Amino acid sequence: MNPEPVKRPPRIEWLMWAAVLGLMILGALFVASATLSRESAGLAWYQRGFVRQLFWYALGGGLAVLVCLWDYRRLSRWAMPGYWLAVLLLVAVLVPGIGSTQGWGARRWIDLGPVQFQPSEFAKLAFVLALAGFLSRPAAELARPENFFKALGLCLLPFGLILREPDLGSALVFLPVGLAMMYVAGVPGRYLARLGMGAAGLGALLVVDLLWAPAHWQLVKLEPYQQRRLLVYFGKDFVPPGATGAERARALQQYRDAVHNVEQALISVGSGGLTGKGWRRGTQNALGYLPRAVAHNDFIFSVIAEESGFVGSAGVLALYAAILFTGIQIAGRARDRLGQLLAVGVVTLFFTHVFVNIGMNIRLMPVTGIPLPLLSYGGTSVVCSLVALGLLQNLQLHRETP
Amino acid sequence: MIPRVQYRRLLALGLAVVLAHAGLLGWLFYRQVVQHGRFAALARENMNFKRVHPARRGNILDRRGVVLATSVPVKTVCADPALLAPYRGLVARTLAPLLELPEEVLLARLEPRLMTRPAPGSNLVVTSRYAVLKHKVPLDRWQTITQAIGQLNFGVDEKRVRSSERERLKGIRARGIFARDDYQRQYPNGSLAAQVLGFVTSGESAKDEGPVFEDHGVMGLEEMFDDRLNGTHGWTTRFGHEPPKPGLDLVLTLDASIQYIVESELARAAEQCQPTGAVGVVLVPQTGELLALASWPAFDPARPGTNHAAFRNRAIMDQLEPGSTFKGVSLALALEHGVLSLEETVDCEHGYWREARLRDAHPYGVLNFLQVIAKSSNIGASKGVRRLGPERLYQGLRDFGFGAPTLIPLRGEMPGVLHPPRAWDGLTITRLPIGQSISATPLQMALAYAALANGGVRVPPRLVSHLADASGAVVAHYPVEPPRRVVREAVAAEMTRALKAVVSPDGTGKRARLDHYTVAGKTGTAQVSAGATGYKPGKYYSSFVGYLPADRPEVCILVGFLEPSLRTGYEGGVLAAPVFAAIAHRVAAYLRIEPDLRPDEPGPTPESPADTLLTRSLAWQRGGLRPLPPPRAKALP
Repeated sequence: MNPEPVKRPPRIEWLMWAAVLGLMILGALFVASATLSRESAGLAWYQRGFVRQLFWYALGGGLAVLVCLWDYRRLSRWAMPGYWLAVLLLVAVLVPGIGSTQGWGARRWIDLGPVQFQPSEFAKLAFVLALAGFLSRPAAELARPENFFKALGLCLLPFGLILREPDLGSALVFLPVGLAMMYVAGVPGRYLARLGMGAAGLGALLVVDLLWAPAHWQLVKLEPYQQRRLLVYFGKDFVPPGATGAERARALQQYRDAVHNVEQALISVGSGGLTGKGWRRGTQNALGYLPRAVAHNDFIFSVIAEESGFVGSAGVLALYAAILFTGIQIAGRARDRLGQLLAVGVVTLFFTHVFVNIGMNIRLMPVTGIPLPLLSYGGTSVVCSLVALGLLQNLQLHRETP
Repeated sequence: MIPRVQYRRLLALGLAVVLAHAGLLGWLFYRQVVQHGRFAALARENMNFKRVHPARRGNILDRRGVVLATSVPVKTVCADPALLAPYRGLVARTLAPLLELPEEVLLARLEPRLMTRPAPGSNLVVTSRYAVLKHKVPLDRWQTITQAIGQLNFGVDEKRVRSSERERLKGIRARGIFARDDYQRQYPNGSLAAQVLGFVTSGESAKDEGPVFEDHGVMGLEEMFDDRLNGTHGWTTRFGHEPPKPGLDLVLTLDASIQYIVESELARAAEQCQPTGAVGVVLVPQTGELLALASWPAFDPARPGTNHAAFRNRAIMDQLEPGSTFKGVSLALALEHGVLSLEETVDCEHGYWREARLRDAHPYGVLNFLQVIAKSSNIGASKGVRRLGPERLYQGLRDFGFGAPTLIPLRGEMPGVLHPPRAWDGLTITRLPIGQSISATPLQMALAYAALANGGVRVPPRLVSHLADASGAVVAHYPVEPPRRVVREAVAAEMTRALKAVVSPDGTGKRARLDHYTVAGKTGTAQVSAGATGYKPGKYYSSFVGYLPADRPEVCILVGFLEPSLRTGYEGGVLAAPVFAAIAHRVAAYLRIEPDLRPDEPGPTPESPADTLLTRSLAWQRGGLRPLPPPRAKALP
């Protein structure tokens, strides 16, 4: 005789949603501050950056509620079709007629009339769902090498496609997320150890190759700006060996140009001090030392840190910590492997974004175009983050054993 | 069911997240609180922006206010590479034909990069939002550029791009290309008085206000008066605004029309006789005001080029043996000390004087000294002046200003060579009277004759009249040393009588004769010295110097040709005298000098005395000797 399943009242994660609300408020406030000097005074209210950001918050919140309506196990049935749809979009974005460059070098967007859609953000979500579904099979099956390689393949397909855009930062996000999910799923340690060592060795080889090998020996063709960003991170100038005086001067100039943004971001953060310069009073931001093109998205943390100081940045970290703590708690309470893996996937995805973006603002990480979830300006990123958090809430709502 | 190992791994993952958060927090604390002071200083430094507003360089004007050099507003076209970044190619393609620069050059300049700030104590980095595309772009071209950028077609449907992108495109049109104020030096009269004016070069120079792109004179008056012509730059910082103060105007004694007359006549003659150089000087004897100071070949100060021969201001830089023109000076000194009179006769040895090993161009027998001057006998002049003795001759020549620079405000003036008597050899006393063993600049010769014209009083030359500010008010005068009597008035009158004889039908300078004016002057045909080795064979310095009207002179004129070709006639009387006459004729007509000759056929005489600035100022001085003209600047237009 089986005991009756205990019916619990639906539980809302109040702590997490409070943190999300806090981040949304901060996001709207500081997007407004960061776009202050960029937007002309005559701009209509509905064209202002922070109004659009609020709209995306509302849309993302609505979708998050929508996600909670169905049991995550039912959603998971659509995981593989979703994954292949994402792959299809990632292929489509590479086709010049469909993908849009938005005037930049990389082809990352799909033009949908008034808005643009970034398939790589959607692919991250679809990937978490698909991998969680795949890894939720019994542990004995996971020990089989072919399953391990299938899981690895699920990781590497979108990774390779996004690398082709090129968008190195977004592509690299797939690796820690996939690794963490496989780790928690119980893939045997020896596979993971080998995978980890292999990846580390390959990475080290790439870095060595990039830093010291002559140009025609380079294994991976990176875009020049990606190469420069990495060189800046490793503190190596651009002077090729055997350069003439003029070439040398030019390379050094390029190095100073490249290092400029990173240093100005660090100056913004550092000059904020304990309590900051006050909202809309950040000089680095207002005078354009933080490049205006990126201040409101990739470098929003610098604006927050400059204008609200250590108090503000620690507050932001605390809000993220609250969300991540809730996520791990949900993963721990999950009654089935699917739920647990989904929670782990979302938490790692979130955490990777936060860590890499903040790290880039304080020169702990190389510069990559990874947005700060919920704070950075940008529709796709905001909506996908909120949908991911809706998924966490879904796990909590439909937790009862089947 | 979830295996136990999974919980352990979940715990490990959670721990990793907590540790990473703690790490970020600690690092933020280190950067924001511990290192706050350092970064706060850097951020403050970033706020110390300063924009320099260049000051307009002053004009150079002639005595009537004709603009000889001026600065007109132009634009320095700049770009914001950070804003333009994705559309660099399109912008470069649009601007290349408008800026007349190759597209690759523009692309390289549009590359986002930083300007370095060399000033001490500041950080290296300024901004990546400012790149100079081209300096000195005319205003009308700048208007075309703003229109072209305003209508830039980015090749995208702007109704369909997202609003941030639309905002960006709007921003590029409005702020992507902008301009800074600058000034360009212009010389409206082309090569007129080029060697006197000099020219400027533009470049970046470090000032207190920061690096400024400005003009600096590198030659002539532009160089000598560089700091007065250049104004004070203005600036804008976050503390305030200081408008630029324009530079002062430099007013010269030159008259652009007379300068043009001299230069055009020199050029016309030079075309025929192909000299290495030609020089012309016109001055007012009573005041020393230089009306023209011309050198051939000339150059265009707006495009100086590299022809250094054309840069040479020959009136002050060429020191030449003056030759026979010097007889006017040496005989005046002999008259002054009473060692001879013009009616006294002297044996000219029929062309060769054995004792002094001296030759005449034409053999003469016994002549009086008036004829000696008129026919330019070397032997006669030498015999007469020798009676002075070395000391009196040397002192007299020093008084006339030989062997010392005239101190006009131009760089590179030569003093000429006049050795003291102890350095003379036995023949020097016979060579000096005829203008050998001495060298002088054309300006020194012209001033010596101006002293004769001025009744024996030598007046120092004046080139710069005064400095005026933008409203025309005189800011500074340039005083000169006081005038000095070198010979008695009676002696000057005697010499004028002798010099008139030179221009008579019997004299060497008969071709300098004018229909309506009596001319007093002297020809000179000197061999060109080749340093210690003697003279250059077949190379002559052919000159004529004189003044008119002879008995109440208003202008003193010198014309000289260096190393003319021998085919066309090289003697002073053949080559230089007609050019003198041509210049004198036109200058006299221009100044409306009252004729003192009434030829049978009526000449072009003005009905009324000329009411011009120059004649008025001269009329004052005809009454008596005035050392300096009264300030006339306020009367200038």
